[in-house]
Amino acid sequence: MAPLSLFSVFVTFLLSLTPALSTNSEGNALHALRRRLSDPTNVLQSWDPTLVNPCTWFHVTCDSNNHVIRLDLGNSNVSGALGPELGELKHLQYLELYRNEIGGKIPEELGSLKNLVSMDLYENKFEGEIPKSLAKLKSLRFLRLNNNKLAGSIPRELTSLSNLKVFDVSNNNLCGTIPVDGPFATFPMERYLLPFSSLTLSSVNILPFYLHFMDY
Amino acid sequence: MVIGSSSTFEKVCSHISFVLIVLFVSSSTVASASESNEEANALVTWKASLQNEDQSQLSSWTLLPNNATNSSTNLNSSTRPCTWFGISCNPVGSVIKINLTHSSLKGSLHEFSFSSFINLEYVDLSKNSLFGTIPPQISNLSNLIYLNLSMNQFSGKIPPEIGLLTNLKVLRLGMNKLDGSIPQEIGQLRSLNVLDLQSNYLDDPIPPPLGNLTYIDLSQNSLSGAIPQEIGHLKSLVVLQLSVNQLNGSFPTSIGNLSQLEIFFVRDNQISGSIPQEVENLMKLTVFRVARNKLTGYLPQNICQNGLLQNFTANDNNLTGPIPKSLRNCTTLYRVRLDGNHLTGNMSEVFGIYPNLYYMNIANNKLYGELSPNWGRSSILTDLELGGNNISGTIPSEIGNITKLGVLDLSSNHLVGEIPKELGRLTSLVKLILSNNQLSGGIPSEVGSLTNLDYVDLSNNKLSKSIPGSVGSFSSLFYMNLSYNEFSQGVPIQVGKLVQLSVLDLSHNHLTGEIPMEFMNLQSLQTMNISHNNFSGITAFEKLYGLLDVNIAYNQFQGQIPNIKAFQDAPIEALEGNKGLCGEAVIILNCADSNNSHIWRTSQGLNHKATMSAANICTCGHHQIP
Repeated sequence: MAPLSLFSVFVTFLLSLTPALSTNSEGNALHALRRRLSDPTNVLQSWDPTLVNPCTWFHVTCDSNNHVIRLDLGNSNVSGALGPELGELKHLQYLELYRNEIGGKIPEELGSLKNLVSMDLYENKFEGEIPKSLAKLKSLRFLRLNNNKLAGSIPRELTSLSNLKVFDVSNNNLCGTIPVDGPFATFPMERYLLPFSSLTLSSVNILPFYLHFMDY
Repeated sequence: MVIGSSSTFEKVCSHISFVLIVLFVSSSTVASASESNEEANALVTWKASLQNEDQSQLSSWTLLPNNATNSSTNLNSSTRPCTWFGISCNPVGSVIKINLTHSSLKGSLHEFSFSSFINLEYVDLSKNSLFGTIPPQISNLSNLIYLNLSMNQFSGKIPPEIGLLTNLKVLRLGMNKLDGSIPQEIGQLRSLNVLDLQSNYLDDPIPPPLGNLTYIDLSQNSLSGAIPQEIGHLKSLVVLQLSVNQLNGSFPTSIGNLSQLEIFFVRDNQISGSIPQEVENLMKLTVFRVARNKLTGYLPQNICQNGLLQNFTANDNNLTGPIPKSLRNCTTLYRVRLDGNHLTGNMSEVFGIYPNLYYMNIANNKLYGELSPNWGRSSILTDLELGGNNISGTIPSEIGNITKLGVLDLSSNHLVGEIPKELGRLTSLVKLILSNNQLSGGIPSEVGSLTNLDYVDLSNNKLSKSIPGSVGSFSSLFYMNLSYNEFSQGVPIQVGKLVQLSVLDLSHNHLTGEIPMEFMNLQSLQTMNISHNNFSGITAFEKLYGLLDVNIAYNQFQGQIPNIKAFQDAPIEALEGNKGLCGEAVIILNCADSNNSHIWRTSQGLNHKATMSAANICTCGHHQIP
């Protein structure tokens, strides 16, 4: 094994002469994400930026043109924060980061993911406001931000998301009014709203703000 | 009188010599003062040409106010740049090193007076935002040994004058926007060891390399033509990285002469012909990566005879012939990709034991024979992809020993027998693909331990018995395809725990019973195909608002179609063959004596209706056909 480790030291040295990034911008964006996250169970071990693209990385799914369409890191024990680079994944359809310990703000750059179908950030430690830029996600069908520490109000702009079918922001520190326009009007889940749907809620976080479709 | 004049002469001589000595001394100090003054001036002039908003990195670069004097005693150290940020001098105070890597510099080199720096040996300006061309005056740096301008925005052509830097050992211009061809003159750099021009827009063929190169990286450019056969002369070459270009022609057989070569990395080009057998002679080769070219012919049969090969990837070529014999004992293998060729071989014979193997993909070839239990000895293997071959026999239980396995793909082979329960030991498994085989028996309930699974495809087999409830533990699962099997009994209620499931295909089985109400929890479901079973209980789908594509055809469903767009808009083929479904705008009856379903669309009137005899009318929820 000794020659093996000597070799890997040498190659590591040689490869350190080469910047670790390729011209694959999606691989670079994911590599940047990896540097922001703390990963104690090594779920990101397969994320090798010297490969031609990230399509063989675990928890990454590509389409036939080698563009990243899914990022599946739910239940992965990761912590840290997200950065603006995720907005570079222009073909992303599924952003699955649920049930982790990720904190910090939801980057507004996520609003550039115009192919996004599902954003699951639930059960993390996200704080700050729900970015208005999420209203640009015209393909979004699933938006689950419940069980975080999000504050502020639900951006009224989200009522323009005409494809939104499943929406959950329960168990946060949100305040303000619940929208009733656009998809929020046609959500048949209105009957699950607590009976103050058109009232301004208290900004003090005594009452948990429930707006969800079902009792899991 | 003569004596008097000679002593005067001596006096004059000694005066003159004294003056000359003083002048000489002062001129030499003046010269060194003005030399460092010239270098300091050049640096300050260049700094003034930069565009930085943030000047703090170079704040030490100033000439202190100085009454212009050339007094020999004025050895004012403020004119020396030797203590300035990024600057190093030799013992007499002349600049030998400029290291300004990652210093937020923004500007060009056009105002840089190269001729002022006769002693400069080392220049590192990498990782900045410098732009413009590389001036040909750079050739004035006649003592230059190390030049690193990588990771900037330099554009235009590499000046051929670089070939005059005869002492240059390291030339790094990678990750810029340089275009045009690599100048032939770079071949004149007899001292050059490291040539790194990667990630630019360089084109035209690679000029014949000369000199004493140990490291060549020309990857990620638009270089064309064939690899020059002169490359075989580089007796000291250790790394050859030419990946991602438009190189064509064949590999020169002279590469067999590269006795020091450890890394041969030429993926993503258009190289044709076969891999020279001479590659077997490379006694130090550890990395051989030639994926995605147009290679034909056989792999060199003794490729690992040096016993050092670690990374061997030749996927997506047109290679034929057998898996090299030498791979059987190639215990150093770490990453192997031979997928997407036409390679043959008997699986039980061509592979041995690989304790260091991390990734193995030989999918889509013509391999046959059986899976050896030896795969279980690859204890660090994370990815095993053997799909699309002609592999027969059973899945050995020893597969369960590969406990770090993340992806197991044995699809599209001729595997028979049962799924071994030992598969439950693969607790790191993320993807399990066993589709398109002839596997039989049930899904062992031990699979419940595979809590990291997010993708399961067991379709197109002969699997039977019930779906075990332990599948409910796949909490991250987004895709489950069990279609085209012989599964029986009902869907376990634990399926309702798969809250992230996006695609569910249970079609073409013998599943029966009511869909459990727990199905309502599958809030992420978008595509659901449960056709060709014996299911009933349509109300379980009522709250699945995320659904986009449904197919419930050929079951026992009856009653009101859920008020969800996916059902309301479903084509007849997705609803037919049931007991009797109806809804707001559609009535579909499957009447006893006919295989066809009859559709009425009430408000849209899209489809014509077939006439029905009164005896065949079915009741359907609230809507009774008059």
